[in-house]
Amino acid sequence: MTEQEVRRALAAVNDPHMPVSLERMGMLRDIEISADGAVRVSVCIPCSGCPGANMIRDGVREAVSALPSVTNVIVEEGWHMSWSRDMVDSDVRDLMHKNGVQI
Amino acid sequence: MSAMQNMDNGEQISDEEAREKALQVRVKAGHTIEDLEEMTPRYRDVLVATMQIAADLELSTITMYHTPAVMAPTLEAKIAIIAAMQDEFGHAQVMYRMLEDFGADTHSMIFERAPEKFKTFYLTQHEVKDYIQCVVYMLMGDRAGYTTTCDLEESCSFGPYSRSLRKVNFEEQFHVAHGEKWTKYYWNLNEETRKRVQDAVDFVFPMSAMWFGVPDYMKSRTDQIAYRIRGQSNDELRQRWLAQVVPYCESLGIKVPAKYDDELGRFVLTYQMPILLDEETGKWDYTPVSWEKKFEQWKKGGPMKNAGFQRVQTEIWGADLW
Repeated sequence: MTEQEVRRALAAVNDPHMPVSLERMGMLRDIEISADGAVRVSVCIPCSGCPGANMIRDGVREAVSALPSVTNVIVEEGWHMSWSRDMVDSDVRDLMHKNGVQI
Repeated sequence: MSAMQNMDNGEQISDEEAREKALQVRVKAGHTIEDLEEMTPRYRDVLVATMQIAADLELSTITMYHTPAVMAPTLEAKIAIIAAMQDEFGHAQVMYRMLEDFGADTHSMIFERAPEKFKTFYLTQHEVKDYIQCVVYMLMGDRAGYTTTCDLEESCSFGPYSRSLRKVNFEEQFHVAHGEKWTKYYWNLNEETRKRVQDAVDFVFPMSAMWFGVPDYMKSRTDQIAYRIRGQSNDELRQRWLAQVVPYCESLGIKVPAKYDDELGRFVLTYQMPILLDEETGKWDYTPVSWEKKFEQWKKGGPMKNAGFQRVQTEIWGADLW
């Protein structure tokens, strides 16, 4: 299993507030794969007390667990990781702007 | 100039009627109305009535979700409900603000209007008792509201209203997803919570199915469709809702009084509308009644119909909120 495969699986996990993947929202950080098949995924939560944090955690866990040879998924998520609007894909920023969503 | 016009079919109609007809043709052809000047009196009335109900419905959810927000089992659940309430407040604000363009005053509409003058649906006139009922309401009730606002966003010929619903619908989608996630969680947690989910579904399902109003065959006035304020009829919207809610519930094993009918090729309710809720027991009586009886229950309203707005108007913060 490669980091690329994990990233591809995570492309299906959207920000629960937007129909856009975590990666394109600038929220997906490090992916570490250990030899025994455990995968650690870091996800930045831009807002403290995000009501969708739980959905993100479960979404990531589900998507990665579905990959063959994954033995364990550890999701490290939190507000402590830095995030700014520049990390959001520019076409996603356009989409948000068009739909009246401010970031 | 003559006050009468000859239609193609030779029928004579008044100038006023001709203007209404012309507008109907324009919006049907896809024309979007951006300016109040373009509206005919009837278009304006239908649009304002539609936006007024939508705004009042958004506002009614504030007191509705209050109890589960207080009783939420975890801090995260509490945050999620309060965030949803804040979203609904935001939607109400967008809609009341838009009504101001038509001469309304938001402050007096919310704080000086008699509670019985607010227009809401039976679904939002009940107190949501706890967090489990709340997530089932989100799964079914918010889904019903979302179905309506999606149709308005896709179809409404008044451009500003349609566009304002894009953000509303992103947020509603989140409430529905939240409802799905936690309904599933409590369904699978243990026997007791499973029973509570089923009880909540039994209570909420018929009200949510009725959210879309009377069946199409009973509608004599279809101005909302003629002026393309909305695109789909009551039955079409109900079908859209059933097609999402029923398979979700069936996938978990939750029982709902509806199914897919192979012969008809669509979802159907397994009971005959309309039915009445026994407000004493909180149970639906599946014996079909006359529509007159149903309208009576609607007219009387649920226990929170007036109480919710009274509360909004008398809470200490209400006085200087706006």
